[in-house]
Amino acid sequence: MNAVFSAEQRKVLLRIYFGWILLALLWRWMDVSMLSQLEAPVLGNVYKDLTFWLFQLLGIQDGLTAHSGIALVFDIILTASVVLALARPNGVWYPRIYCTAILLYFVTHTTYANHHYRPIIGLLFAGIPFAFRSLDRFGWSFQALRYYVLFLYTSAGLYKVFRGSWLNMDQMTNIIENTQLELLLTHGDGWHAQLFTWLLVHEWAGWALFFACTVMETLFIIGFFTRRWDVALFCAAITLHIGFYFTMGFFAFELIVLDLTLLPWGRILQSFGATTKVAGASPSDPTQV
Amino acid sequence: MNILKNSFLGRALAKDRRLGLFFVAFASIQLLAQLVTADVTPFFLYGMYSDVLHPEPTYVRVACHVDGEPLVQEDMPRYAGELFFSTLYRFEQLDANGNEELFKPFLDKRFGWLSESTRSDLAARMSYEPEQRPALEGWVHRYLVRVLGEPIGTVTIDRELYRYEEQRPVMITRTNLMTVSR
Repeated sequence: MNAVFSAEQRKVLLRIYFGWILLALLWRWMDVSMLSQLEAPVLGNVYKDLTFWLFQLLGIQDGLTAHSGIALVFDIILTASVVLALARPNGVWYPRIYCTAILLYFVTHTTYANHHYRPIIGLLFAGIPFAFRSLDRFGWSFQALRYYVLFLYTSAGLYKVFRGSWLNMDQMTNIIENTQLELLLTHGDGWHAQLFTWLLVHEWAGWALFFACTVMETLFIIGFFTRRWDVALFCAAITLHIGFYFTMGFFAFELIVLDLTLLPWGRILQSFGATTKVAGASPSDPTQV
Repeated sequence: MNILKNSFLGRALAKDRRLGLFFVAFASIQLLAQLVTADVTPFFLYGMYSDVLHPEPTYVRVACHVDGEPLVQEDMPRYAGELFFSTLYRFEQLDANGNEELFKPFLDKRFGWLSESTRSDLAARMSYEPEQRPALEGWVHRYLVRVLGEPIGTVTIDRELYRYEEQRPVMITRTNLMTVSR
């Protein structure tokens, strides 16, 4: 059942994943959100995250932002590690440097963003398989990533089930009232505000969407037992992200890169001519041919 | 037993013991964090909006004006807008709570193995004191100049309180939180 990718395939996958990561970083550069662009922020929040507190204990967040020179060097190292990983796709040191740097960036930026924006963790996990030199370990960790994606969505659905929010008829109404106040006030005539207003008026529709979201997320549990539905689950994941944007104004670009692990890479890469080395693949495994 | 052996983790352990143990350790910590709902980055709890939400009598909005013109999050680049306005909302919360922080009890509970002075120092580092206000005001100005890419004079930050009437927000009060002039 294990897809062991060839060196050629690993190279192609690295270019796809790190290409996505590079886009995410360039977006952050353009949005004045790299550490050197934060103008030495003053007010931070480490929440109740144990790792954030440990970083605080070590003075990492302050150390990386207090001096613009240090922050700039850090940003350059982070971005260069991605560019160099793309330029030298056989290497493992650039992905390793990247994984360390993106974790530091994640904790530091999130601290000063005063907003526990967790989806950025997708950028860290997307890089981990490429930090392994052995092709076997790369293959195993790439598969582990797929299971992690399944776990994320399933747990998101189960949280809603066990905490009872999926049966709360005005859950979506309360989400919109909580999060879209500014949009309703400042762009009240726009299509997005009109959609939110319609959902507020038609509470049943908002609840139906929230219920559908819970069901879709929970259905990812299927992926633990078979790969047969992976493409459908990938489509479900993308649908959820589009739905989150329309109904909550939230778009987790950084998390979508992980959804790519649900695609049948074995078949895709072969159809593009990248040679496959298969160890113990079963004919029913749709990631293989 | 066969189910366990044929599972992904079972096969990983059989094929590559070190990597398999790494996966098992990761999965165990992830599940433990999930069960006790402890935030331990990078173990990701994706429980977005899973808590039952109840209607609030009022909702707070932090309004920003730059040289008299309103500035809203949608007018700024996405990540810059999130960072800037989240910081303003945190400042508003601190102001509403009389700058009281809740971190010390958390540190005492989860970091009891650290010395009392270290825990107090950590709590102080993450707390906001009124003496820090000039530094915060300076940052608000600097960051806006950088994001907007033009010199600016006055920035005013207000707390606005709203309630919903027939699905439309209606303002109840507005109070000034901060005025920065350079």
